Amino acid sequence: MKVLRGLGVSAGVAVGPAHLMFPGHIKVSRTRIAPEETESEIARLKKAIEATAEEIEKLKKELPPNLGEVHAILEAQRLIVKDPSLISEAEELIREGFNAEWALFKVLKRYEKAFSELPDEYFRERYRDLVQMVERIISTLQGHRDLPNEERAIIVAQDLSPADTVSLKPDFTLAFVTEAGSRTSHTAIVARSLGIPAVVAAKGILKEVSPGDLLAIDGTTGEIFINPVEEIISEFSERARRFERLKVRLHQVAHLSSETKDGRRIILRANLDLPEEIPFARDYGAEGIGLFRTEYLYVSRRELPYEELLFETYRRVVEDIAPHPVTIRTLDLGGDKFASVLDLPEEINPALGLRAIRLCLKEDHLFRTQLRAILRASAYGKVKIMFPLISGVAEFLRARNLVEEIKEELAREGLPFDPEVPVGAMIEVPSAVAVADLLAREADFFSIGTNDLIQYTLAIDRGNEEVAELYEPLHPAILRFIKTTVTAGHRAGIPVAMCGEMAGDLLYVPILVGLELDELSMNPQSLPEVKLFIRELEFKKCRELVEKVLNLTCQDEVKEAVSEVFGPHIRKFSRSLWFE
Amino acid sequence: MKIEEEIEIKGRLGLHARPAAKLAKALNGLKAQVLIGRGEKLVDARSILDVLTLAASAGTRLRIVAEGEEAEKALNEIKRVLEAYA
Repeated sequence: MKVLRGLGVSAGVAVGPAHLMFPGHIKVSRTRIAPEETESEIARLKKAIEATAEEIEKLKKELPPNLGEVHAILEAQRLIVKDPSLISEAEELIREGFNAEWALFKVLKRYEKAFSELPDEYFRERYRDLVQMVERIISTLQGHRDLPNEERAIIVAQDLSPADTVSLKPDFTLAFVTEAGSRTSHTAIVARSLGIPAVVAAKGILKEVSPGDLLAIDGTTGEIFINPVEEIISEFSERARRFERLKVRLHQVAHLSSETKDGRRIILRANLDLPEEIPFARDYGAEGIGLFRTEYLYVSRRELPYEELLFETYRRVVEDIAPHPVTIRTLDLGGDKFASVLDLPEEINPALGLRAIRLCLKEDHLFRTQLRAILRASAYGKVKIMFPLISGVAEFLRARNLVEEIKEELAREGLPFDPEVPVGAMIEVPSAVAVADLLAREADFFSIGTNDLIQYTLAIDRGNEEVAELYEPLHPAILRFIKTTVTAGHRAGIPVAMCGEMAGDLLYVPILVGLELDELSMNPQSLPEVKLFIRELEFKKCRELVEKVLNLTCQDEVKEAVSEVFGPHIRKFSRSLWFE
Repeated sequence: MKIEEEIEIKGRLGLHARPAAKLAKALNGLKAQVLIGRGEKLVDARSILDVLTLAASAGTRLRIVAEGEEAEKALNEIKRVLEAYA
């Protein structure tokens, strides 16, 4: 037995034989075609091309409507299959006496040379689309497809093309495992929308797995067991049962109200990157989106997204989450999140450099386009606009004034928008906490971003292993900063939310409730357990706990204090839905 | 009828897969032969593959030669598609 770990991107577990897919691995033999067979060979080629194009058209039609980007890729690939140059060159080679497969292979080689000589990487890369399509035509010609059609299997591949992922139907596919990929790669998105478990970024998987090996994978934890021992197999069937129960329970939990025993309500919302994730957020009971990150459309493409694309995306989010609101965070790029389309200069200290709101205020055109799209989307539901990395009042006002300018612009153009759209500040820079009372007069809401707030307050780079252990979410300084922010917000009569990772951790929940945060926003998966936990808490006790911990000296003492009062509760609820 | 025009490719990515696909679709069915390229190196504008191998990045000037009954319509279609991606 071997164990690997990748990134679990689509929940669920599966146990089954591995089916390896090797894209770019075509076997074709060369046979001579007699002159009298030429026409029928050409007809065979054309039939295969038609069938392949139709197959892709069909995949496109069956695609869940929320996969627009995949739709466009499939359309381009369908046109490659029907490309007149590809067809006429192959036809000519058949007339010279080659079989259809070999003719296609020769044309592919010709294009390989043409593409490899191109100066631009983007255009060179399109050769891969051609390879994928020629593979499909050839396998149609040969009357087989490199898919498991008898036995249900776990698909293992370097990476899967959108067409591959969509065509691998749940009837045949137990799960996906890919060597490459990320949470937002096509495989992940498609797998989630089809409800197939998937693990991506499983380094070494192709080297370790042979066809037919038994695999056990968990799409939540990212675990992959190769030829698992008996205990693991029975453990996995238990996990599968739990997962089914979890799905049932989720629906029950989703409808419960998130309030403490003594009636204090805390709004629970989801952090999302993609409109495709909204159905999951709903399933997990989110009362809206507390943080919609907008970087995906900037980092996943090779050009800056234009206004219509942004508008359509935001509008879909706004409509799909209605009647609940969505807080859209404006572009948070720079620092560690780098968009290649922006040509940002390399910085020695990117965390303190040109990023987020600073970048947006400098690259004004970028910001205007995004604000126009957000404001236009606000006409279709409840939208809040949130600026990241606000460090002071003047900066916030500059951004806010730009929103007002754009509102006037849209009004002049006769485009609809919500004139009352709330504009808020993300609190994640210590200086913003220091002037929170002043900011609260200008902002319509606060949302505390704990990841950066902790990093900047404690001067700890969490990614740096040398100091990572000093990254302490419960450091008394952090707790006091949260307290200051909440107090300033409430004095000015504005709500205060938290949207960092801290919000989804059970250990912190009693403190966050006691600190009187109005809203917690987290990864959708954490919502049910946090909600069940909140329902067991007493607001009064949480406040008492906070009174006490604000005067402690270090994280360890705080942890101890929390465990003392809530330890048994936390143990009961921690991952309770998964491991009950 | 044969008409010729030179156009400049705008948009950061140049003439990439999406506009190339749109181009192939827009020209489909039109009664005109349409070539696109640089100088004498011209390719079939209906071939998404050949258009991609032009590797026409932003700022590239491309020559378009359209010939046939609907040459003018074809040229307008090309301009419409490319404008949409500018």
